[in-house]
Amino acid sequence: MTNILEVDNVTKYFGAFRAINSCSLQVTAGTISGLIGPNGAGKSTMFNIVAGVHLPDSGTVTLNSTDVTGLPAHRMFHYGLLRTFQIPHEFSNVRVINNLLMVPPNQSGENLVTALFRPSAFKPQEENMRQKALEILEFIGLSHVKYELAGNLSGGQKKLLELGRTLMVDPKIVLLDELGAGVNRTLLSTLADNIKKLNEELKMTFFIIEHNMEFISRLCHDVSVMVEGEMVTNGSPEQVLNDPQVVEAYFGGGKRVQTSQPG
Amino acid sequence: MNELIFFINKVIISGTIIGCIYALGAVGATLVFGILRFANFAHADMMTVGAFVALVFVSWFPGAGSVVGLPTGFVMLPVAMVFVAIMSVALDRMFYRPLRERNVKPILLLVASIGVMLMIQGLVRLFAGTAPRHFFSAEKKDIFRIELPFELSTRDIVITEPQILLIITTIVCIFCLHRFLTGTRLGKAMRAMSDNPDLALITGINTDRVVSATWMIAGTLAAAGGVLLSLDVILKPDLSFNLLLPIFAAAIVGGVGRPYGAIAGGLLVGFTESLAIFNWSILLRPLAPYIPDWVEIPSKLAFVPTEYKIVVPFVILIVVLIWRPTGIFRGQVL
Repeated sequence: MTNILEVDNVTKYFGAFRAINSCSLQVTAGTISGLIGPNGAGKSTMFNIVAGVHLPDSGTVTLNSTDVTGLPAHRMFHYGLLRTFQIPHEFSNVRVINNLLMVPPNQSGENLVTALFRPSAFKPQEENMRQKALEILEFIGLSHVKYELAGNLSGGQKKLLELGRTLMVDPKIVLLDELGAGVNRTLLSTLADNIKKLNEELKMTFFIIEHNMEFISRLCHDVSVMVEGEMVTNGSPEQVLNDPQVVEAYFGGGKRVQTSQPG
Repeated sequence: MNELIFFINKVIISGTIIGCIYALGAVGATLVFGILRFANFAHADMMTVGAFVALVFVSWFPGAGSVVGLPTGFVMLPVAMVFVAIMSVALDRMFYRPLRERNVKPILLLVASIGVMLMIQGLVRLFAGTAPRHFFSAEKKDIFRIELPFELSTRDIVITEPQILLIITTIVCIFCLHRFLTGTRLGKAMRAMSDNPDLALITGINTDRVVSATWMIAGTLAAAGGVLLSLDVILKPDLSFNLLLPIFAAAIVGGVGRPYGAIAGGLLVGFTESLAIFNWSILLRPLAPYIPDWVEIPSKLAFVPTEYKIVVPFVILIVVLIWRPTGIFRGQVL
């Protein structure tokens, strides 16, 4: 098993605030890895560093044995790293199906000369893409709204669309940032099934931030825990969820302010 | 009949001409707004610069036009387009990009663009003086007179060669722009980025390239508009001042961030301007026998005197925005 993603000793400051303090983690190819931690632990910052949104102050990010530290986000896409957002993003003035068709690069109809003079040349490729997009919409259960403007979808449907978008290309690794937030339990369980299926059948690698422990323990092979910018522990879901440090970070203790007890 | 021909000459033709100019300017302004979210006040000055570049090249190669049988100024149009395209990217690199990198609010970019506008105006006056210039000082302007086969018509429909070229060039530019925006990767990337810049970035779109492309297109179209307008009438250093407001009115009326809206808005503003300053008493004169004697048809009867032409875009702006607050094509970026 090789590590598809390696984060080595990454530190990130926002001004004087240290969001991440020399954290390291590995994601093995073909697995589903989780990243959990209380709010403000630096999970999304970690994602943003991996995805090329933020430049780390020190440390390296390696994708598929290539050093990709500090590469801009659009280059990371071409290295096969796709991500979703915690707050769903969509092209709101564009229909759902065309939101998916926006993703694949190198479509021949996108060449100016072909687009101007040979409209017939790219029809077959476009039809293939369309077919693929329809299959994906079927898979994520959005085919009934395919001609709706994406801005009119509900929050949960936008989450599904985010997942669908990552399937339009063959990604090496997909970062899912709180896929479950704002999604009802039934839908979330469908999503979990779909992710499991993609992982098992297509050997897709996922790296997930999630607060829902059930979701984490059902899917993840490996879980890392961050608390206040530090990497606390790492292991299988059972190990991690029973770790006293993790329990304390989530359910109390930590840096609780001492209050004076009435006498 | 002559009255009708007069109407065609004064309203249909001149409305189309000025509408095309506004459309060329407004498309660029609306694209820049859609991508970068600020109103570029220096946009009309890019049109002036385009016209002056063409004029300089005309003075260097005065015989170029007669080789292909077109006005020399028109032959120099591609040169001006390339020059202004490069210049607008350079202006972006020098003035706007450093601001964007510091994540400033769009209003600061707008203020910066006012600075750029004043700077360009100053530079143009420094190098070219303040006197109006003609493209047709050495050449003859071809004027086409189309006689109508009606008995009563003694006048002709008049259209000049630059006007025909202007209309053709505008149609070609808009057709290419349409194909570019709907078909090509970069065009799709532009629409994607105008909709959601963060998402555009993670779907592999190089947003820096999109910004440069936007400036190049805006600059190219602005240069085309400036050169063609100066070919039609006259080139003055304060050309931009009279263009800026109608262009923004057109962009807003059409729906901000909507290129097709900007085209519609440009034509709407252009036609309304020519209708508003048209002397309607000419159309009323044939009706004189049917109007009671005590009503006297004034010799000049226009909605707006020519000197106040500049108010027309504002009236359209107010009327359209009351009726449809986001513009005709429902602009969404604001």
